[in-house]
Amino acid sequence: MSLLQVSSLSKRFGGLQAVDNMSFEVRAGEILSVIGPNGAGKSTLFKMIAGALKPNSGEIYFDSRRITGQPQHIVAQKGVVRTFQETTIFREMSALEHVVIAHHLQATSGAWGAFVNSGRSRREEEAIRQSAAEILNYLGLGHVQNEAAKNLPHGYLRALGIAMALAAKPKLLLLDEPFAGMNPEETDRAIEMVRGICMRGVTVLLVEHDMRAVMRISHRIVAVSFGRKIAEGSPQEIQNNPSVIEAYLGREDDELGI
Amino acid sequence: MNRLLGPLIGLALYLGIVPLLIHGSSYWLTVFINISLLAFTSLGVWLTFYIGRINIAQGAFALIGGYAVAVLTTLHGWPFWLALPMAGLVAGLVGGVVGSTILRLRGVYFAMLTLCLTEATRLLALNWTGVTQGASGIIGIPTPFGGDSSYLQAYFFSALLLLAGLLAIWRITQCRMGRVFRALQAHEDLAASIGINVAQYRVLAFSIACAFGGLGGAVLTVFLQSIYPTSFNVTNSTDFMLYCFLGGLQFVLGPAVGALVLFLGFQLLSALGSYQALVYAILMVLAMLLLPNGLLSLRFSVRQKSMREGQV
Repeated sequence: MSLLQVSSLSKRFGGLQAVDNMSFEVRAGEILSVIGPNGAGKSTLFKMIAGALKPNSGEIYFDSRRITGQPQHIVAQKGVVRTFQETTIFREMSALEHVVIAHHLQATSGAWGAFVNSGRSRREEEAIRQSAAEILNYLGLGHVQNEAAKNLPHGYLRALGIAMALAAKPKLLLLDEPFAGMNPEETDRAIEMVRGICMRGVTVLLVEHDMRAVMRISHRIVAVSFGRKIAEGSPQEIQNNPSVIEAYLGREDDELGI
Repeated sequence: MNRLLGPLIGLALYLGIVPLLIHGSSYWLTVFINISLLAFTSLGVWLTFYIGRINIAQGAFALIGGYAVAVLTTLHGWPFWLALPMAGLVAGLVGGVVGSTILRLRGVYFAMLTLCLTEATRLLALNWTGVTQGASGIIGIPTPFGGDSSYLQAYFFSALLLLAGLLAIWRITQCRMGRVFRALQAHEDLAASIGINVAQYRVLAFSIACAFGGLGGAVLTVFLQSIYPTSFNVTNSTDFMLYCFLGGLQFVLGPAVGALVLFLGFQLLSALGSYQALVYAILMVLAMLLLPNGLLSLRFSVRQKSMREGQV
């Protein structure tokens, strides 16, 4: 069953066709990776799905409902939550406070109740705080929950970003280069983390450079180059696809004979 | 108990000892009435800082609140106690409408636009003669404070208004709304990604801020019993901002401390005659250089560590 459907999506920046008539779908329960060389349009695609950019044409459907061009907070409410690269944080706040804020959509008691600190609002606060601590523990951040985010190392910030996204209870989690800048050990741990999230019933769409990690983690892969989809399939299929190899390694030049 | 000690001492000072010392002097009562009301108005500017915007428009909203209360009481015969909340409401609504367009801007662009807003509001008050009576202003505004103790009544009313304002802003910072505001200050895109309606919360914060401006301006107007297009101008807008900067942007008490020190300081320097403004300006520059996080950072620098451990 398809959870997210992207059809004929296009985005142009001035003279640059960043995303050109791209179509693919994300099936419920899978880990789908979008790969491609720098400037292939991955980030643009990612931002359009999350509602941070409006496409020029094409449609995006999530859970059979149209989300094309809707603002980020609406898309998030419907269950599509993105992560940012690690530098995007609330610098001064503690890790716990990040995840508490990310429970925004779960808070049901009214603004007035929260303002006068009513009993119901206090109970809700307590529940949110507990849930935030659980998420941090699950992602191995429990011991730094009171540390200001600006003091945390990069690997932790990536996990913190994922913790925030999970707190918003996504059905589809969009991960922006979750393995970038990680050493092999950190990558191993991050892969386990993403698999664990997928096991909990969250569908994952990730954009990534790190080919080895992508090959290990993905159920399916969409390869893009110069804004177009050039291949789609299982990791094996993608690895052996001539257009993918060409996009990454370049074409043999007949004239020079190399 | 320890946490309550500071606020209780402040309360006893401001509602007990200060009025006891100055109750005979209408000059000093006026100084403190001004401090309370200017601090209250600055709380709105502080709240705009809290969502990451520099607000130099508070003079405009004080003027709007002032005219609202003047027109309603003087020309339409409303009682003050009804006209006052109305003035806050009008300023808040105008703030919401204006804010929904200009809050998209950030940094120096937003600041410049709010500065222009102060000037535009003065020109509006000058030229909209049908409502504001133009340059001749509205005079003879009825005051709810009467009799021999009118200054003392005004002192207590202003002091209580300030306390209520401080309490309200403090509660906002402590509840979910405050958390969302802090998120907006830190990173609007990240806030949107977790489902926060950034535009709506921005406008909410700005409306509350403007309502504070309207209420403060209304009470100041009623105390002075007159209002003119120049009653609140660019200088006032800048002052409201400076009170926040100098008091400290991290502390709810910041604008109150800033208003107290700056306004009181200026009065105390009056003995210097023509050098008053010069010395005042030099002291202000020094304070900004030496205490970039505000006067309150002096006290909190000692306790910062314990504070951070305690807060979430």
